[in-house]
Amino acid sequence: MGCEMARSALIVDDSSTVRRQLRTFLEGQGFSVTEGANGREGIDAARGSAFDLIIVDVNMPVLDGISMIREVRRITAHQKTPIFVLTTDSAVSTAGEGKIAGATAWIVKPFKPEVLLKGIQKVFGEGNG
Amino acid sequence: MARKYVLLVDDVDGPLWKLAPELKSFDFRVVVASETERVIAFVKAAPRLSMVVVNESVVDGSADSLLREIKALEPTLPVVWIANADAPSALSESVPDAMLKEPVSVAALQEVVARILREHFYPSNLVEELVRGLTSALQAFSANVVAGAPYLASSTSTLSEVNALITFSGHRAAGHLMIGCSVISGRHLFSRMFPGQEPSLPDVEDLVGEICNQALGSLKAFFVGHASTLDMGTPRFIRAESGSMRYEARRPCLGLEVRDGDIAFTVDFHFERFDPETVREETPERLIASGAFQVL
Repeated sequence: MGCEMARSALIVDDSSTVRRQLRTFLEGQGFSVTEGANGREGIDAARGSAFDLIIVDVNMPVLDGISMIREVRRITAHQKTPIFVLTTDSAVSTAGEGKIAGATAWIVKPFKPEVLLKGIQKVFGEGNG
Repeated sequence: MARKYVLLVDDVDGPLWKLAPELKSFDFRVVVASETERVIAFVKAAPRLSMVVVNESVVDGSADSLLREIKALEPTLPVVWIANADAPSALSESVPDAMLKEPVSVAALQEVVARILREHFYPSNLVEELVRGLTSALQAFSANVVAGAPYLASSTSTLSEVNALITFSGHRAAGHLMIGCSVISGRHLFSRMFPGQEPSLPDVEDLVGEICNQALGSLKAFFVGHASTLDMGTPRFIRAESGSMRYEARRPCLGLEVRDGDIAFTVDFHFERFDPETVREETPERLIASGAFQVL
Protein backbone atom coordinates (compact mmCIF):
# COMPACT_ATOMS: atom_id res chain seq x y z
CA MET A 1 0.00 0.00 0.00
CA GLY A 2 3.05 2.20 0.08
CA CYS A 3 2.55 3.55 3.64
CA GLU A 4 5.36 5.49 5.23
CA MET A 5 4.15 4.76 8.78
CA ALA A 6 2.62 1.47 9.82
CA ARG A 7 -1.14 1.68 10.08
CA SER A 8 -2.84 -0.08 12.90
CA ALA A 9 -5.77 -2.48 12.76
CA LEU A 10 -7.97 -4.02 15.42
CA ILE A 11 -9.46 -7.42 14.50
CA VAL A 12 -12.21 -8.85 16.67
CA ASP A 13 -13.42 -12.39 16.03
CA ASP A 14 -14.00 -15.33 18.36
CA SER A 15 -12.26 -17.62 15.86
CA SER A 16 -8.48 -17.71 16.27
CA THR A 17 -8.34 -19.10 12.71
CA VAL A 18 -9.98 -15.98 11.27
CA ARG A 19 -7.82 -13.71 13.45
CA ARG A 20 -4.72 -15.55 12.23
CA GLN A 21 -5.86 -15.23 8.58
CA LEU A 22 -6.52 -11.52 8.99
CA ARG A 23 -3.31 -10.88 10.91
CA THR A 24 -1.22 -12.65 8.25
CA PHE A 25 -2.93 -10.66 5.51
CA LEU A 26 -2.90 -7.26 7.24
CA GLU A 27 0.71 -7.52 8.44
CA GLY A 28 1.59 -8.31 4.83
CA GLN A 29 -0.03 -4.97 3.93
CA GLY A 30 2.02 -3.10 6.51
CA PHE A 31 -0.51 -2.94 9.35
CA SER A 32 0.34 -3.53 12.97
CA VAL A 33 -2.41 -5.73 14.40
CA THR A 34 -4.20 -5.96 17.75
CA GLU A 35 -6.66 -8.80 18.40
CA GLY A 36 -9.81 -9.25 20.43
CA ALA A 37 -11.85 -12.44 20.84
CA ASN A 38 -15.24 -10.82 21.54
CA GLY A 39 -16.99 -7.47 21.48
CA ARG A 40 -16.03 -6.60 25.06
CA GLU A 41 -12.33 -7.12 24.32
CA GLY A 42 -12.80 -5.06 21.17
CA ILE A 43 -14.25 -2.10 23.12
CA ASP A 44 -11.47 -2.31 25.71
CA ALA A 45 -8.82 -2.26 22.96
CA ALA A 46 -10.54 0.64 21.16
CA ARG A 47 -10.65 2.68 24.40
CA GLY A 48 -6.91 2.13 24.89
CA SER A 49 -5.68 2.93 21.38
CA ALA A 50 -6.66 4.73 18.20
CA PHE A 51 -6.78 2.33 15.24
CA ASP A 52 -6.81 3.14 11.53
CA LEU A 53 -9.07 0.17 10.72
CA ILE A 54 -11.35 -2.14 12.70
CA ILE A 55 -12.58 -5.50 11.41
CA VAL A 56 -15.22 -7.22 13.51
CA ASP A 57 -17.37 -10.37 13.43
CA VAL A 58 -21.06 -10.24 14.42
CA ASN A 59 -21.86 -13.51 16.20
CA MET A 60 -19.51 -13.74 19.19
CA PRO A 61 -19.79 -14.76 22.83
CA VAL A 62 -19.83 -12.16 25.64
CA LEU A 63 -20.74 -9.24 23.34
CA ASP A 64 -21.77 -9.28 19.66
CA GLY A 65 -20.17 -7.21 16.94
CA ILE A 66 -23.10 -4.84 16.31
CA SER A 67 -23.22 -3.86 20.00
CA MET A 68 -19.46 -3.40 19.97
CA ILE A 69 -19.63 -1.05 16.96
CA ARG A 70 -22.32 1.02 18.69
CA GLU A 71 -20.03 1.46 21.74
CA VAL A 72 -16.88 2.07 19.70
CA ARG A 73 -18.57 4.89 17.77
CA ARG A 74 -19.05 6.72 21.09
CA ILE A 75 -15.27 6.85 21.53
CA THR A 76 -14.08 10.17 20.12
CA ALA A 77 -10.99 8.67 18.49
CA HIS A 78 -13.13 6.16 16.58
CA GLN A 79 -16.02 8.24 15.34
CA LYS A 80 -14.62 8.12 11.78
CA THR A 81 -12.52 4.96 11.86
CA PRO A 82 -13.47 2.56 9.03
CA ILE A 83 -15.18 -0.46 10.60
CA PHE A 84 -15.60 -3.54 8.40
CA VAL A 85 -17.97 -6.29 9.48
CA LEU A 86 -16.72 -9.76 8.49
CA THR A 87 -19.48 -12.27 9.16
CA THR A 88 -21.41 -15.31 7.94
CA ASP A 89 -24.62 -13.26 8.14
CA SER A 90 -25.64 -12.23 4.61
CA ALA A 91 -29.08 -10.72 5.26
CA VAL A 92 -29.39 -7.14 4.01
CA SER A 93 -31.61 -6.45 7.01
CA THR A 94 -28.78 -7.38 9.44
CA ALA A 95 -26.32 -5.30 7.43
CA GLY A 96 -28.83 -2.44 7.85
CA GLU A 97 -28.57 -2.86 11.63
CA GLY A 98 -24.80 -2.72 11.21
CA LYS A 99 -25.07 0.50 9.24
CA ILE A 100 -27.25 2.11 11.91
CA ALA A 101 -24.71 1.04 14.55
CA GLY A 102 -21.94 2.72 12.54
CA ALA A 103 -20.36 0.02 10.36
CA THR A 104 -18.63 1.18 7.18
CA ALA A 105 -18.74 -2.00 5.09
CA TRP A 106 -19.98 -5.61 5.19
CA ILE A 107 -18.14 -8.71 3.98
CA VAL A 108 -19.71 -12.19 4.03
CA LYS A 109 -17.39 -15.09 4.92
CA PRO A 110 -15.61 -16.86 3.39
CA PHE A 111 -13.61 -13.84 2.27
CA LYS A 112 -10.96 -13.49 -0.39
CA PRO A 113 -7.87 -11.45 0.58
CA GLU A 114 -7.92 -9.58 -2.74
CA VAL A 115 -11.49 -8.42 -2.07
CA LEU A 116 -10.51 -7.20 1.39
CA LEU A 117 -7.50 -5.43 -0.08
CA LYS A 118 -9.68 -3.60 -2.62
CA GLY A 119 -12.03 -2.63 0.18
CA ILE A 120 -9.16 -1.23 2.24
CA GLN A 121 -7.84 0.69 -0.75
CA LYS A 122 -11.31 2.04 -1.39
CA VAL A 123 -11.87 3.45 2.11
CA PHE A 124 -8.33 4.80 2.33
CA GLY A 125 -8.64 6.34 -1.14
CA GLU A 126 -5.71 4.37 -2.58
CA GLY A 127 -4.98 2.13 -5.60
CA ASN A 128 -7.20 1.59 -8.58
CA GLY A 129 -9.90 -0.39 -6.79
CA MET B 1 -39.94 -38.91 23.12
CA ALA B 2 -42.21 -40.94 20.87
CA ARG B 3 -40.42 -42.56 17.99
CA LYS B 4 -41.12 -42.10 14.32
CA TYR B 5 -42.88 -44.80 12.32
CA VAL B 6 -42.86 -46.41 8.90
CA LEU B 7 -45.99 -48.29 7.93
CA LEU B 8 -45.56 -51.34 5.69
CA VAL B 9 -48.78 -52.38 3.95
CA ASP B 10 -48.11 -56.07 3.53
CA ASP B 11 -48.68 -59.44 5.14
CA VAL B 12 -46.73 -59.92 8.37
CA ASP B 13 -44.38 -62.33 6.59
CA GLY B 14 -44.49 -60.45 3.26
CA PRO B 15 -41.47 -59.25 1.26
CA LEU B 16 -41.57 -55.71 2.66
CA TRP B 17 -40.55 -57.01 6.07
CA LYS B 18 -37.03 -57.27 4.65
CA LEU B 19 -36.90 -53.46 4.93
CA ALA B 20 -37.36 -53.60 8.68
CA PRO B 21 -33.70 -54.01 9.80
CA GLU B 22 -32.55 -50.97 7.81
CA LEU B 23 -35.50 -48.85 8.95
CA LYS B 24 -34.84 -49.83 12.56
CA SER B 25 -31.22 -48.80 12.12
CA PHE B 26 -32.55 -45.29 11.36
CA ASP B 27 -34.53 -45.47 14.61
CA PHE B 28 -37.88 -46.02 12.95
CA ARG B 29 -40.50 -48.19 14.53
CA VAL B 30 -41.90 -50.47 11.84
CA VAL B 31 -45.59 -51.32 11.76
CA VAL B 32 -47.18 -53.83 9.38
CA ALA B 33 -50.84 -53.76 8.36
CA SER B 34 -52.59 -55.35 5.40
CA GLU B 35 -56.25 -54.40 5.75
CA THR B 36 -57.20 -51.05 4.22
CA GLU B 37 -59.28 -50.14 7.25
CA ARG B 38 -56.35 -50.64 9.63
CA VAL B 39 -53.98 -48.78 7.30
CA ILE B 40 -56.24 -45.71 7.23
CA ALA B 41 -56.81 -45.88 10.98
CA PHE B 42 -53.05 -45.90 11.56
CA VAL B 43 -52.45 -42.95 9.20
CA LYS B 44 -55.09 -41.03 11.14
CA ALA B 45 -53.70 -41.98 14.54
CA ALA B 46 -49.91 -41.70 14.14
CA PRO B 47 -48.71 -38.09 14.00
CA ARG B 48 -45.08 -39.15 13.56
CA LEU B 49 -45.68 -41.47 10.63
CA SER B 50 -42.81 -40.82 8.19
CA MET B 51 -43.61 -43.10 5.25
CA VAL B 52 -45.96 -45.74 3.91
CA VAL B 53 -44.69 -48.58 1.71
CA VAL B 54 -47.46 -50.51 -0.05
CA ASN B 55 -47.28 -54.00 -1.51
CA GLU B 56 -50.09 -53.69 -4.04
CA SER B 57 -50.76 -57.43 -4.07
CA VAL B 58 -52.24 -57.33 -0.55
CA VAL B 59 -54.47 -54.29 -1.04
CA ASP B 60 -58.10 -55.26 -0.53
CA GLY B 61 -60.45 -53.05 -2.50
CA SER B 62 -59.44 -50.14 -4.70
CA ALA B 63 -55.74 -49.25 -4.78
CA ASP B 64 -56.60 -45.79 -6.10
CA SER B 65 -58.95 -45.04 -3.24
CA LEU B 66 -56.41 -46.26 -0.65
CA LEU B 67 -53.68 -43.98 -2.00
CA ARG B 68 -56.12 -41.10 -2.45
CA GLU B 69 -57.33 -41.45 1.13
CA ILE B 70 -53.79 -41.56 2.54
CA LYS B 71 -52.84 -38.43 0.58
CA ALA B 72 -56.04 -36.67 1.60
CA LEU B 73 -55.20 -37.31 5.26
CA GLU B 74 -51.48 -36.51 4.99
CA PRO B 75 -50.59 -34.73 1.72
CA THR B 76 -46.85 -34.61 2.46
CA LEU B 77 -46.57 -38.21 3.70
CA PRO B 78 -44.38 -40.12 1.21
CA VAL B 79 -45.88 -43.31 -0.24
CA VAL B 80 -43.76 -45.92 -2.03
CA TRP B 81 -45.79 -48.34 -4.12
CA ILE B 82 -44.72 -51.85 -5.14
CA ALA B 83 -46.81 -52.87 -8.16
CA ASN B 84 -47.59 -56.44 -9.18
CA ALA B 85 -45.20 -58.13 -11.57
CA ASP B 86 -47.34 -59.24 -14.46
CA ALA B 87 -50.43 -57.07 -14.39
CA PRO B 88 -50.66 -53.33 -15.01
CA SER B 89 -50.66 -51.40 -11.75
CA ALA B 90 -54.02 -51.06 -10.06
CA LEU B 91 -53.32 -47.34 -9.79
CA SER B 92 -54.91 -45.43 -12.63
CA GLU B 93 -55.72 -42.06 -11.05
CA SER B 94 -53.33 -41.56 -8.14
CA VAL B 95 -49.56 -41.11 -8.22
CA PRO B 96 -47.32 -42.32 -5.40
CA ASP B 97 -43.99 -40.69 -4.56
CA ALA B 98 -42.15 -43.69 -6.00
CA MET B 99 -43.26 -46.85 -7.77
CA LEU B 100 -41.36 -50.09 -8.22
CA LYS B 101 -42.51 -53.21 -10.03
CA GLU B 102 -42.11 -56.73 -8.70
CA PRO B 103 -39.75 -58.48 -8.60
CA VAL B 104 -37.85 -55.88 -6.57
CA SER B 105 -34.48 -56.62 -4.99
CA VAL B 106 -34.06 -55.72 -1.33
CA ALA B 107 -31.17 -53.43 -2.30
CA ALA B 108 -33.29 -51.52 -4.86
CA LEU B 109 -36.13 -51.18 -2.39
CA GLN B 110 -33.80 -49.97 0.36
CA GLU B 111 -32.24 -47.42 -2.02
CA VAL B 112 -35.62 -45.97 -3.02
CA VAL B 113 -36.95 -45.91 0.55
CA ALA B 114 -33.78 -44.21 1.83
CA ARG B 115 -33.91 -41.62 -0.99
CA ILE B 116 -37.57 -40.79 -0.43
CA LEU B 117 -37.09 -40.59 3.35
CA ARG B 118 -34.06 -38.36 2.92
CA GLU B 119 -36.07 -36.03 0.67
CA HIS B 120 -38.92 -36.08 3.18
CA PHE B 121 -36.76 -35.05 6.13
CA TYR B 122 -34.12 -33.00 4.29
CA PRO B 123 -35.47 -31.41 1.07
CA SER B 124 -33.06 -31.46 -1.86
CA ASN B 125 -32.70 -27.70 -2.35
CA LEU B 126 -31.84 -27.25 1.32
CA VAL B 127 -29.29 -30.09 1.22
CA GLU B 128 -27.75 -28.66 -1.96
CA GLU B 129 -27.30 -25.32 -0.20
CA LEU B 130 -25.72 -27.01 2.80
CA VAL B 131 -23.27 -28.93 0.58
CA ARG B 132 -22.53 -25.80 -1.46
CA GLY B 133 -21.88 -23.77 1.70
CA LEU B 134 -19.67 -26.47 3.16
CA THR B 135 -17.55 -26.91 0.04
CA SER B 136 -17.32 -23.14 -0.40
CA ALA B 137 -16.13 -22.74 3.20
CA LEU B 138 -13.60 -25.52 2.79
CA GLN B 139 -12.39 -24.30 -0.60
CA ALA B 140 -11.24 -21.12 1.10
CA PHE B 141 -8.82 -23.36 3.00
CA SER B 142 -8.37 -26.36 0.72
CA ALA B 143 -8.61 -26.09 -3.06
CA ASN B 144 -9.67 -29.53 -4.27
CA VAL B 145 -12.55 -30.39 -2.01
CA VAL B 146 -14.97 -33.09 -3.16
CA ALA B 147 -18.21 -33.78 -1.33
CA GLY B 148 -19.69 -37.26 -1.37
CA ALA B 149 -23.41 -37.95 -1.73
CA PRO B 150 -25.49 -37.06 1.33
CA TYR B 151 -27.13 -40.00 3.01
CA LEU B 152 -29.65 -40.63 5.73
CA ALA B 153 -28.03 -41.81 8.94
CA SER B 154 -29.31 -43.00 12.26
CA SER B 155 -29.68 -40.70 15.25
CA THR B 156 -26.36 -41.89 16.58
CA SER B 157 -23.28 -40.07 15.32
CA THR B 158 -19.85 -41.61 15.37
CA LEU B 159 -17.53 -39.00 16.75
CA SER B 160 -14.18 -38.13 15.22
CA GLU B 161 -11.11 -37.16 17.24
CA VAL B 162 -11.96 -33.47 16.79
CA ASN B 163 -15.59 -32.33 16.51
CA ALA B 164 -17.15 -28.89 16.31
CA LEU B 165 -20.88 -28.55 16.85
CA ILE B 166 -23.06 -25.48 16.35
CA THR B 167 -26.72 -25.46 17.29
CA PHE B 168 -29.28 -23.28 15.54
CA SER B 169 -32.89 -22.40 16.10
CA GLY B 170 -35.59 -20.32 14.49
CA HIS B 171 -39.35 -20.32 14.36
CA ARG B 172 -39.34 -22.90 11.55
CA ALA B 173 -36.33 -25.06 12.34
CA ALA B 174 -33.91 -26.12 15.03
CA GLY B 175 -31.02 -28.53 15.06
CA HIS B 176 -27.30 -28.73 14.79
CA LEU B 177 -24.42 -29.08 12.38
CA MET B 178 -21.41 -31.07 13.51
CA ILE B 179 -18.16 -31.41 11.58
CA GLY B 180 -15.47 -33.84 12.63
CA CYS B 181 -12.04 -34.94 11.51
CA SER B 182 -8.93 -36.70 12.73
CA VAL B 183 -6.21 -34.62 14.37
CA ILE B 184 -3.95 -35.48 11.42
CA SER B 185 -6.50 -34.21 8.86
CA GLY B 186 -6.98 -31.01 10.84
CA ARG B 187 -3.23 -30.45 11.09
CA HIS B 188 -2.76 -31.03 7.35
CA LEU B 189 -5.42 -28.46 6.56
CA PHE B 190 -3.96 -25.97 9.03
CA SER B 191 -0.48 -26.42 7.50
CA ARG B 192 -1.87 -25.65 4.04
CA MET B 193 -3.39 -22.44 5.33
CA PHE B 194 -0.50 -21.33 7.49
CA PRO B 195 2.69 -22.86 6.12
CA GLY B 196 5.45 -23.31 8.67
CA GLN B 197 3.18 -22.94 11.70
CA GLU B 198 2.63 -25.90 14.02
CA PRO B 199 -0.99 -26.02 15.26
CA SER B 200 -2.00 -26.92 18.77
CA LEU B 201 -5.11 -29.06 19.31
CA PRO B 202 -7.18 -25.93 20.15
CA ASP B 203 -5.95 -24.42 16.85
CA VAL B 204 -7.26 -27.48 14.99
CA GLU B 205 -10.54 -27.33 16.89
CA ASP B 206 -10.98 -23.65 16.09
CA LEU B 207 -10.33 -24.30 12.40
CA VAL B 208 -13.00 -27.02 12.30
CA GLY B 209 -15.34 -24.76 14.25
CA GLU B 210 -14.88 -21.93 11.74
CA ILE B 211 -15.61 -24.25 8.80
CA CYS B 212 -18.76 -25.35 10.63
CA ASN B 213 -19.66 -21.70 11.27
CA GLN B 214 -19.24 -20.70 7.62
CA ALA B 215 -21.17 -23.74 6.32
CA LEU B 216 -24.04 -22.95 8.65
CA GLY B 217 -23.92 -19.34 7.48
CA SER B 218 -24.94 -20.54 4.01
CA LEU B 219 -27.84 -22.45 5.50
CA LYS B 220 -28.89 -19.35 7.41
CA ALA B 221 -28.87 -17.42 4.12
CA PHE B 222 -31.09 -20.13 2.63
CA PHE B 223 -33.60 -19.63 5.43
CA VAL B 224 -33.50 -15.85 5.05
CA GLY B 225 -34.19 -16.37 1.34
CA HIS B 226 -37.21 -18.47 2.29
CA ALA B 227 -39.06 -16.10 4.58
CA SER B 228 -37.48 -17.37 7.77
CA THR B 229 -34.58 -16.79 10.12
CA LEU B 230 -32.11 -18.85 12.12
CA ASP B 231 -30.14 -17.86 15.18
CA MET B 232 -26.79 -19.61 15.29
CA GLY B 233 -24.80 -20.44 18.38
CA THR B 234 -21.01 -20.40 18.57
CA PRO B 235 -18.97 -23.61 18.15
CA ARG B 236 -18.71 -26.16 20.92
CA PHE B 237 -15.98 -28.74 20.77
CA ILE B 238 -16.01 -32.43 21.55
CA ARG B 239 -12.83 -34.49 21.74
CA ALA B 240 -13.23 -38.25 21.34
CA GLU B 241 -10.68 -40.92 20.57
CA SER B 242 -13.55 -43.18 19.66
CA GLY B 243 -17.12 -42.81 20.70
CA SER B 244 -20.57 -41.86 19.60
CA MET B 245 -23.23 -39.34 20.40
CA ARG B 246 -26.87 -40.27 20.46
CA TYR B 247 -29.82 -37.89 20.49
CA GLU B 248 -33.41 -38.77 21.13
CA ALA B 249 -34.74 -37.65 17.83
CA ARG B 250 -37.86 -37.61 15.73
CA ARG B 251 -35.77 -37.42 12.61
CA PRO B 252 -32.77 -39.31 11.33
CA CYS B 253 -29.57 -37.37 10.63
CA LEU B 254 -28.12 -36.40 7.30
CA GLY B 255 -24.57 -37.62 6.84
CA LEU B 256 -21.92 -36.45 4.41
CA GLU B 257 -18.22 -36.92 3.83
CA VAL B 258 -15.95 -34.28 2.35
CA ARG B 259 -12.45 -35.04 1.20
CA ASP B 260 -9.41 -33.38 -0.31
CA GLY B 261 -6.70 -35.98 -0.78
CA ASP B 262 -5.49 -36.98 2.67
CA ILE B 263 -7.83 -34.50 4.40
CA ALA B 264 -11.25 -35.90 5.29
CA PHE B 265 -14.19 -34.44 7.20
CA THR B 266 -17.41 -36.05 8.35
CA VAL B 267 -20.54 -33.95 8.49
CA ASP B 268 -23.56 -34.66 10.63
CA PHE B 269 -26.60 -32.45 10.12
CA HIS B 270 -29.70 -32.84 12.20
CA PHE B 271 -33.06 -31.12 12.28
CA GLU B 272 -34.66 -31.51 15.66
CA ARG B 273 -37.66 -29.80 14.09
CA PHE B 274 -38.31 -28.41 10.65
CA ASP B 275 -41.34 -26.98 8.89
CA PRO B 276 -41.21 -28.27 5.29
CA GLU B 277 -43.28 -25.28 4.15
CA THR B 278 -40.05 -23.27 4.55
CA VAL B 279 -38.54 -24.54 1.32
CA ARG B 280 -41.61 -23.63 -0.69
CA GLU B 281 -41.80 -19.97 0.31
CA GLU B 282 -39.17 -17.89 -1.42
CA THR B 283 -39.00 -14.28 -0.37
CA PRO B 284 -37.60 -11.15 -2.02
CA GLU B 285 -35.33 -10.55 1.01
CA ARG B 286 -32.02 -9.49 -0.45
CA LEU B 287 -28.76 -11.16 0.48
CA ILE B 288 -25.20 -9.88 0.26
CA ALA B 289 -23.16 -12.23 -1.90
CA SER B 290 -20.56 -14.35 -0.16
CA GLY B 291 -17.11 -12.76 -0.38
CA ALA B 292 -18.36 -9.41 -1.75
CA PHE B 293 -17.31 -6.09 -0.20
CA GLN B 294 -20.47 -4.07 0.41
CA VAL B 295 -20.10 -0.44 1.44
CA LEU B 296 -22.95 0.48 3.79
